[in-house]
Amino acid sequence: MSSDTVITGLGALSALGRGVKRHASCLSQGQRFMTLPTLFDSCGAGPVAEVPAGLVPAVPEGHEAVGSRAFCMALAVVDEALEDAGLAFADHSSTAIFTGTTSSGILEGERAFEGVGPGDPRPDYRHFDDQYVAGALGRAIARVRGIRGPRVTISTACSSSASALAQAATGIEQGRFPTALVLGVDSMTRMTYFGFGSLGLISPCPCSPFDAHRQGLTLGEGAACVVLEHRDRARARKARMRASVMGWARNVDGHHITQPDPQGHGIETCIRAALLRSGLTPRSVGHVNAHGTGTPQNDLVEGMVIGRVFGHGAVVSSTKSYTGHTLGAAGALEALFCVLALEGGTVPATLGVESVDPRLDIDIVTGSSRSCDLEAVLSSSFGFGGNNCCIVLGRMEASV
Amino acid sequence: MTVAAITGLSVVAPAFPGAGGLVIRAGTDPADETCAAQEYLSKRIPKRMLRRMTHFGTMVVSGALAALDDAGITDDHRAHVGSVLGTAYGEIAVACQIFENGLGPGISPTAFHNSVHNASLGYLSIFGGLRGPSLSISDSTLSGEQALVEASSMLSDPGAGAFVVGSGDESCPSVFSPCWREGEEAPRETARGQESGGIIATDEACGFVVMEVEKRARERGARTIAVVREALAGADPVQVIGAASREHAAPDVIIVPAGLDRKADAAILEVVRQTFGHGTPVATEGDLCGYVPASGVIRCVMACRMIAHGAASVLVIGKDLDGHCTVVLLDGGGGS
Amino acid sequence: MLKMEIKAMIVEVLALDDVTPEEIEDSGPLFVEGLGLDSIDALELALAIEKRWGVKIRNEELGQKVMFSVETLATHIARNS
Repeated sequence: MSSDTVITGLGALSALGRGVKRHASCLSQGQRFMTLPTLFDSCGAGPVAEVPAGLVPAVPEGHEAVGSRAFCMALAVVDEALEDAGLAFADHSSTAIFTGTTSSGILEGERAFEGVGPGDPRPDYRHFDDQYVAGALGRAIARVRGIRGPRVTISTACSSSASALAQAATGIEQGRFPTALVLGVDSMTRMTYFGFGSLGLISPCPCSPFDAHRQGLTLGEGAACVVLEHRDRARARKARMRASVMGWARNVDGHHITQPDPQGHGIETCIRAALLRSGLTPRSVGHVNAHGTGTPQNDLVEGMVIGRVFGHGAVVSSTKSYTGHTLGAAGALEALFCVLALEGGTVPATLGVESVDPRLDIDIVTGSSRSCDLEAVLSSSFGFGGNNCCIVLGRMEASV
Repeated sequence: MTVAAITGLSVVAPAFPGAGGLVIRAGTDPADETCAAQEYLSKRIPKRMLRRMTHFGTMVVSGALAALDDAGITDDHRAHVGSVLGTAYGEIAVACQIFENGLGPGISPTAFHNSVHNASLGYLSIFGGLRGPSLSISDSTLSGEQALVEASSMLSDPGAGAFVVGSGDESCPSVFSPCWREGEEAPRETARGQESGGIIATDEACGFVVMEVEKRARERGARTIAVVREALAGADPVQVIGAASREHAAPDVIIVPAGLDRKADAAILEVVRQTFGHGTPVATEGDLCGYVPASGVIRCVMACRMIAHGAASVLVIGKDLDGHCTVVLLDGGGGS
Repeated sequence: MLKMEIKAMIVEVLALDDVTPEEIEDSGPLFVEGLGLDSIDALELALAIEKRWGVKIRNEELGQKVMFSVETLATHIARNS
């Protein structure tokens, strides 16, 4: 059983560079770019994966009020994805936009508050409603690009844009709208950098997910856009269908606000529910794009669950070892990587791994990418609040 | 669309605007059910577990649990329940506190994880045993309506059971002060440079409803207060309101937000009148609370109470400064 | 004296409404069993100790030893401040 939702367009911007092709080449060549932050003084706590200066587009004229760094990154990937889908000049009166973000314009908020201490008058922060607030970014994109169907912003920490994809696909299945843009975006901020640091989760060196000596995550920033369409509409306009959205599932651990349930019951239930909805058994899934943050706890719990569900049947990789953990952008960005894996029949290596955590009995790709014949792949995203989302994507059949 | 039954209600707000402490008013006849939010929580959850909760978290968790109680969904049956929260500003007080204390290596881990948009839903799942899908939605003044629309969509999904759906905001007037001075008639620059204004008494409140697949609600013998007939959103009010009016009779009452933006309010009312005629009475949530940005579910609670007291159908309309519009049409159920 | 200060700090920083500083035992375990604190409390407490006494407890392994009880904490602070 496959769903009626297909992917017809992709756009990406991250520390790897701008454009989907650039991402594909970095993944196949095992390239990553992690350095100390340039946007603020990091106090040397650990590197990040920042989008290089010059690759973040300038604020389009007339949109200064909404022009946060995250907005500019988002606009670039939306335009790339619409172009890729052949919808750049289409009528978007019924197109939906589902945005996943955790910080939206917090970076700009931080700047407004600079030098303001407790008890001081609050800053004259006139862009608060247009930039800072989580929903402002998606609203601005919809306005600027004339996207006039339903418009929703989901902010569930690190599962935000995965959940946005699931929600958009639900709407397409129900016939609420024929096309939806799924946008994931987050810029680097001091709030997230020092916040994750305060929880002891930032790695002092570039992250190495699933490695025996991993020391935490490397924060990234970026944006990704995935165009979802109803299969009938995509077929009618002879669009290139890059992958099908076969199924998805969401649930919560209900265990702890920042830590995964050590038994992994919640995420196992989520993975199995996504497979059930896709009409697949674990055997049909050839590749898992893991949440794989590089923190000691996440990777242990997730790796054990992958082992329980898939054994050695699915080849596992964490693309956060390339882009860093892009938080709200991660779900959409990793769905995009899954499409590339399905199209190219290759699974990227997890970078930085010298020896896989011996407690894990799973097949993690290390060293260099591996060729695999993939029918279906699963992407996992887990966030604070125990918020889980899994998505199953399938290769397009040769004849549609 | 699967017809969703609303089986539980609550509103958490100060006893009167500006009063400080939060009071829960659950059910269709809230006068009988008033209790303090803090006290309600401390009776159910060990003090130790509550100590990290923020003010906003207290609003959300107490309101959501009170709505589940009102729906008669007991602890043993909450694992299949999901949660959807619409909030414009989320944990804004904690975020401002972090900003003011300075962003650097000394930031409090507790404050950081509490500042995340879905932190209160995380606490709700831990304290209430909720394991279903959990979404926190932010879309300015439409956050609540979007929560209702997306929860309705999820209820049509196979395997979905019930959702507790809420919306609201805590007051943090000092952040708004540059543009929204309390009680003043201040012209305000909007995103599009238009001028709008209004008397603003910012307040705080959250409203909650429990939505279930109607068939399931019937099977467990739950009381259905109202059912959701339509839940739509889009950028064209004429199209969205028109779509809701086509298949349904004119509602008895229309509830619009107690808005900030008189021009946008007038424009929406004009569409409403063109669609339904001039006779339908129009209400706002002003009776329940002061100005709250994400008031959608609070107005939905109002609609449910009207239906419980005899209204045949009520239309809840939302809008924002961009002209985006949502409609949620509720009636008493039956005859579908 | 230092022990009393630490106890007061634990109650205040970790918002423990259900115990008073006097009720915390000098040598009783602070985490899991005993006072029942968790990993977030450990991070919060380490931060507060660093701010007040300038003593860093950033390493998890060291933290588990040092923050075992009020007594071990007091010894560590006295030795390093």
